Amino acid sequence: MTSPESEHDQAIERLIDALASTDHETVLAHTGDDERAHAEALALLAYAEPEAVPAPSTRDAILRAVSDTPVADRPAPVATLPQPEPTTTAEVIPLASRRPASTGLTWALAAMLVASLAGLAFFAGQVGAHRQTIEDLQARQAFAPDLAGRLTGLEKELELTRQRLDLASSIARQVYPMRTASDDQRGPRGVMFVCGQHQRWLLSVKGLEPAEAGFEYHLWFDTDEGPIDGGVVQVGINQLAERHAMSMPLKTNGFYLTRERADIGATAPSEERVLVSDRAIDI
Amino acid sequence: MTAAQAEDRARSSQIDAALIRRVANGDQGALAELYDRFSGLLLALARRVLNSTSDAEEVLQEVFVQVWNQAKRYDGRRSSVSTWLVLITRSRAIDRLRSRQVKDRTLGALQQEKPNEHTSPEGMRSVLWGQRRKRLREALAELPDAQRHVLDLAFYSGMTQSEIADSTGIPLGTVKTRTLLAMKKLRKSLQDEIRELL
Repeated sequence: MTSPESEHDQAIERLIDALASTDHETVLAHTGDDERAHAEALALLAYAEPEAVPAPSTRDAILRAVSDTPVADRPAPVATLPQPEPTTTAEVIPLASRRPASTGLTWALAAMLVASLAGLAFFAGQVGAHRQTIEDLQARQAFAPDLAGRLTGLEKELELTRQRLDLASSIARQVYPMRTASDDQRGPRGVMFVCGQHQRWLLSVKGLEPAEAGFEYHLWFDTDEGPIDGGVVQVGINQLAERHAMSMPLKTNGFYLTRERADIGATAPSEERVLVSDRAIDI
Repeated sequence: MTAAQAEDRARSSQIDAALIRRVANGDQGALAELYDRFSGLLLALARRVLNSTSDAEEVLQEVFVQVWNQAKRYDGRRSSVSTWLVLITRSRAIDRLRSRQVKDRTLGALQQEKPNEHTSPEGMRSVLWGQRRKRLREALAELPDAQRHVLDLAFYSGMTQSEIADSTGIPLGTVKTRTLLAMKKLRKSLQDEIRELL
């Protein structure tokens, strides 16, 4: 049985290692009881630095960005072109009141010319204003798909993370560390979160090198009926490798990771155990 | 900590929580107010991680846009507002740091002089934070250099304990012991501060 002291030590160690994931949600997933106090203590480290003064433009940029980016569950504002200002039309000289041919015609032509030039100048200004508006809207439109795409991607990623962390932060969750078969202190490490109520599980592995070409890592559950395949664990370079599922095989006693040939579809574990559970599962 | 100080801090935490709720409801004014309250702290943290003011300013922008988008997901049971913001900022800064692949430069930066101290203009908030910073510095000063060093590496550079052991040549078991002892001492020294954040 672990003592409260060693539980605190384990909590601190998990917190320190969780920091390396750079996922602040992972850190907060270790909250609850004393672990939250440890997280608050760690975050206080930020106060060690003297306060800095951001450039005034930073505040403006943020407020501009959030006014352009709507809150996730609100519809985006519809962009509308500004309505043109009411215009005055050039005065039309009725035919009946025109002056006699020569002088009148000259004045009329002159008036029409002036009016035309004024009108042209006005419309040229309007065209310029509209062009500027169109360019602004095009710039926003070019920016918006990128933002929309990023937002969609982030939302999916966060939903997945939230599902995983619901498990990791569940009150009923139990934590089972994994170690190398030789207990190499510098080797890869893993941890399995298991929710006792549902036997949902999440496996997280770090420090494992990607399998070479033609090989893959398999998770195996050690049960009373023998090993059961838990699936392939994809390992990237310098990344946390994770796998999770809604249920665990019945009568699981432990679990381990092996390295298998990728071409033959492993149905039973090979001898090469990469990581093993540090203790038996006791759900 | 005096009773008056504790009361001020409790009120400050309540204000922070209320601001987050307003941000979640789409109140840009609340976001601006949250920015005014925390930008100095978060910029300093980002700059410490990245050793670059321009990169830190960009991270600060990303953080507050993220806060705007995710305020509804803030859960006051898991952390205080300040811790939530600090951890978001740290995550963003570490991500950028890793993408720049400048871990070695960061280790060098840890040995450089600290940047010149700036002060922010607001009265009460600076007083409260000044007190908190003073308490933290006192707590950190009580740590042996070796313990403080590994804690710095874990927090500011996002290195795992194994990576810290590899880069410093210290055995992994020693790294773990030092971080454990450092965190325990820190928590004990700052128990008043932590209590008001819980």
